[in-house]
Amino acid sequence: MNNENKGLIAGIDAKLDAIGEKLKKKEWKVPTDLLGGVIFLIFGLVMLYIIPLQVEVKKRELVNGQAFPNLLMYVMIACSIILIANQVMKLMRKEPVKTTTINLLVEVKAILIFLSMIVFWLVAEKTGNFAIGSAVFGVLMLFFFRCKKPLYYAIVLVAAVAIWAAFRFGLGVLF
Amino acid sequence: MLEFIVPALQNLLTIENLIWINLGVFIGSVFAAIPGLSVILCIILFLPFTYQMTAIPGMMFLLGIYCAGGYGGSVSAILINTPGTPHAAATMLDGYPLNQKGRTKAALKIALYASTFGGVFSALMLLFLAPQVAKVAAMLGTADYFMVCMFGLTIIAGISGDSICKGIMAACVGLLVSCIGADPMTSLARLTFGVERLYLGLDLAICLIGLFALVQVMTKAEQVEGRLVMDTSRLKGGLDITKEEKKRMLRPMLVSSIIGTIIGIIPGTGASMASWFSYDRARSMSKHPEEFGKGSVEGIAAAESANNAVTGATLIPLLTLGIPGDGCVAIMLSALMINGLNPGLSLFTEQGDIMYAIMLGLILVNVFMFVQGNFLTNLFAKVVSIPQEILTPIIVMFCFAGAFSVNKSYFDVVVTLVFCAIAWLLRKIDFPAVPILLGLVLGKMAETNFRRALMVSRGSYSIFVKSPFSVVFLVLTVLVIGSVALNKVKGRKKKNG
Repeated sequence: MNNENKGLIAGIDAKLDAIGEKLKKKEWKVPTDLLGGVIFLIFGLVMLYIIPLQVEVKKRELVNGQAFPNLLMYVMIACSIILIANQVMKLMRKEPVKTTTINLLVEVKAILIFLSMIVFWLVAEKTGNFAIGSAVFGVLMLFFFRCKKPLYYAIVLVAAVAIWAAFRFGLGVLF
Repeated sequence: MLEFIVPALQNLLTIENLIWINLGVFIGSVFAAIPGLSVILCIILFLPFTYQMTAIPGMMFLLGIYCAGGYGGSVSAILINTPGTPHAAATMLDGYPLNQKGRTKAALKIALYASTFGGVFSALMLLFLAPQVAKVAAMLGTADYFMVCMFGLTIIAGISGDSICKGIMAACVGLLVSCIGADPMTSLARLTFGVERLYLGLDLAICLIGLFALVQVMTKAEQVEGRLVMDTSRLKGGLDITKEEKKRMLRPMLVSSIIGTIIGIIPGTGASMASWFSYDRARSMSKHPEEFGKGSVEGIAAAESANNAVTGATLIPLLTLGIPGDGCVAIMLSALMINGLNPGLSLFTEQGDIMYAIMLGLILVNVFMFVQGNFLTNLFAKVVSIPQEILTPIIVMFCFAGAFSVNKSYFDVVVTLVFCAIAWLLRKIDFPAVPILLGLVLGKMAETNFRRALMVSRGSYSIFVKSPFSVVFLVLTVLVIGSVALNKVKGRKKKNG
């Protein structure tokens, strides 16, 4: 690698570090159990509305296909209410509630990994070749890790082809 | 039983099976030795492979991974003071200090001998107990089976997280997902949202790849582990285990194997609980309790034999009742069922040659684990040094290839991505994922028995308290909820002083 390229990479690294530092400082504390209870409560209520629309039933059925999913949602709603009530009581008593820290840098990184996986799927499906999708994803992940070792890129690319070949010729999976 | 032994051995002792066992043992040992990767992740990754195999080689491969995972975690615990798996944490307490004393080889051998002893003990228990439990299981009616499912789910929900409510809610998610697709009794579509492909339901392996494997990759956003370098030169030198130490290992190994087997039979408990409980028991029973934490031979032997004694025991409720003892064997259930092997007495009577081959195979798995552990630990330690930058994309490639191969469809890859996003959200709000897995596994069985029981009783819920078996499981379920709640209250009081 010549000096010009090295300088360019060092510049990109410095910029990424600066962005990372900014994002790292932005974080929020979230009451996990309270939030979880609310999310599941809403989910349970929405599902109770959706189940009759989405589950076909035959007339004259003593116990139809809606019975079990409905029962599950009632249990879920009951547990959510208990969880929320428990947390609200703690807040009222000024006792500490369980929290988690949401850090913007972590979430941005997680989204980047998830997007890379979506790219993997899209490339593999559109090209009809799994190995190409794997190779693109492998390179994206090495960028994510800010890997500068050419050997690692070579190993990941070989692994992409090897996994495709193992499934294609070993298990007869056409992709 | 005896009439099945000869055909079972003929089925088991083939070159193909021996290769799959050894491959499973090797892969399981390596995965378990790498901190951050788990045995459950390894089983999920390789589950789609087994869909192309028949029951015996498929199960042998998965059991190889599962059992070797019990031992593999101890390699990194002893060598670098980092447990490869959660249950190896107890081994670390004495394994690493013994390594620091220059006795690395002895520490690893104690772990290997104890793991093999525990594993073989547990496999023998499985061989003799499972057919007896299956006879009792054959007496259960539909209502009883529903109560068994509820008991299994409650105990797992209670133990796997910090709140039983959160565990039950997570289990409900798994049970609801299992409802997607054709109604098991009427074949009418349910929760398909107009997507035709969903009529077939969601394959367990596909959901699990998203829930456990891809989300593991997402955690790289939180922290990237540095490269682990294990000093393999230490494996060669040092004093081997002495005769006196071997004698001292015997009692804790036997007691811990019994403890591990008992804990393993109870759904939702698992290897971590067994190894900590046994470690504590060994300390209280030891003539040298002062050595614990400083490189005690008994400490390593107790923890390792207990966590491997769980492996065969978890299969007892799985093969007899369909209730998985832990997350790993829950996944194996799908490998069994895809080959038409459904848990219950018929498994031991009508398909006895296959079932006994699998149970005898578990003994063989432990034997090969012993052989590989003796000769390949050096290699395990070297493979563990693979950098995360290389390992992470390879895991995702395997995940996607596995997901695609189940139904040869990219739709399944999208499903894994959806489950990955759900698992990430659950992780953020601190909800356990294992109850979802159990819900997915037990969903169809729970619902079918629930509806059949209500049909028999013409809609009366009293059927769930009519038979003595149902009452026993109902009482056990209430006791689990009660004891978890009581522990919480005690913990809170202790905290408040």
